Amino acid sequence: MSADFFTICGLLYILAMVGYLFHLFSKKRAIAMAGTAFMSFGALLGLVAFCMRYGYYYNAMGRGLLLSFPVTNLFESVHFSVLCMVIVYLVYEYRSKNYSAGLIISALSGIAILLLAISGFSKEPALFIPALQSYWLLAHVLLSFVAYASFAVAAALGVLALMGGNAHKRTQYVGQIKDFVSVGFVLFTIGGLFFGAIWAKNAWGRFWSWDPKESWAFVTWCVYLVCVHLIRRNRLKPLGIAIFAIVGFCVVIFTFIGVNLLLSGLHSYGSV
Amino acid sequence: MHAGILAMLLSTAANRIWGLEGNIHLLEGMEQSAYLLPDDSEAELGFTVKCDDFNVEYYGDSNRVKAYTTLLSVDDGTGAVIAEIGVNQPFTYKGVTFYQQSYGFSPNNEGRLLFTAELNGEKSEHSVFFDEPVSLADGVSVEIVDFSPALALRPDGQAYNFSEDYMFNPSSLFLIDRQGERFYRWVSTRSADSGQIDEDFTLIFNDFKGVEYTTLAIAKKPFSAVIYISFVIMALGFIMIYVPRMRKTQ
Repeated sequence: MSADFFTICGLLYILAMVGYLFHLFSKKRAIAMAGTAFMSFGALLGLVAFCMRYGYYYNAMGRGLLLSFPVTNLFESVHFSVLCMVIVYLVYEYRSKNYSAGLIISALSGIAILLLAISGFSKEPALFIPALQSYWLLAHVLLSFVAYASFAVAAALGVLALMGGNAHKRTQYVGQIKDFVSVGFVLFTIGGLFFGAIWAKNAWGRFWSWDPKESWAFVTWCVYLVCVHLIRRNRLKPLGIAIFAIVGFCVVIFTFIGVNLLLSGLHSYGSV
Repeated sequence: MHAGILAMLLSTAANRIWGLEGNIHLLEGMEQSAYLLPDDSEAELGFTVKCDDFNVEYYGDSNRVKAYTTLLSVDDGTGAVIAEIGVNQPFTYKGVTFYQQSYGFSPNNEGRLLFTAELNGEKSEHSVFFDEPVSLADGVSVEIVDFSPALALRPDGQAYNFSEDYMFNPSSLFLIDRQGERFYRWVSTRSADSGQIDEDFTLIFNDFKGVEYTTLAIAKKPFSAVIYISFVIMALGFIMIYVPRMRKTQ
């Protein structure tokens, strides 16, 4: 049941994409609002499906809310990360009243979910294996995914900044990219690396094992580390910042999905 | 911020130099004081560790593992300390921390089969080797002639074993002799009615003790506290860098 809800989200995001696409040509706010409506409805449905999974694990395992966070396999992880991305985007859209990035975010979300739906990955809930039974799962995954979501919106704004438009708009985008990259970097460092390291120490006895996920997380961190340093020292031109945001997000995608699909290691829960 | 990174790197290096890392493979019931270093050479712990009991729990009837735990007793000669170690549930003794890593089935000649017999309301506990007959009351005797670590039934009722590596469903084949009438019965730990011979006679197979091994990772990292402090310093660094800027942009 919740698996179907997740997939319907993908269709709603695709409809949102169509709305945002028409808005790009017509510039009519009402059309963009239709995109926003589909996007919001998709996020709401995603949230409902997420809560259903949460409730299922909560009831089936009886370990309490903090130990039932539903991100046990690739299917659930992708859905939760898309949900984070859409929510972060919608908050941004609401505050900035800028609908242009919606096309990229909705396309990314819709395609990711529909690809997952036709893939062979298990969509069924899988009760937690002992390795995942830790409070750190919630802290580590939640912060990492909100960081990924910030990087995604930064990359979408990066594409807009590269595509042109007037100088004023470009400056505005670059300012927003700086904010999203900074927030993402802080959350990724604390949630992804620090919390991950503390959990690793508690579960495996080592803070850092250089397994593929950790190595690629380190690569991701280094890319954004260089980016925030260059931003702070004003060494980057606006286009450089945009390119950094896009390249950084490509590395994020590989760290999140590519490593699970192509490399095996301590973090290989996704394929189970 | 950078001081935090430096403190983290230095304490990681100090942990490498003054700490230790390794593994211990323990058979259930076995006691030892040596552990394996990452290069597979042996070193001494300075105290003994013994796996008193190893247990695996499953979700309902499935073979999905819910938990696996080692009941470990540690002794430096002044008295044993007993602790339960599970995944995400380490235990520290004299600065050395034990982490549950893996486990498996490792058949050997030392293992003992534990079962309970209930005949005409009388309950008795037994611990036997293979082919060792046990006489119960009323001319009934039983012996265990075979063992399957992971017994399952085909749709036609035929029993088969589906794993040589893990004891998913430890089961014993009992040869039952009831006043000259001899018959065989598979009795499984995870199926209570498999040992129900009749209304007055029940066999419960409890465990094959001493044939499961548990692997524990061990680590001694005396400078870990500095690493935690460096994380806090770096988190505070972020607050100092970004919070004033957020105020400015608002």
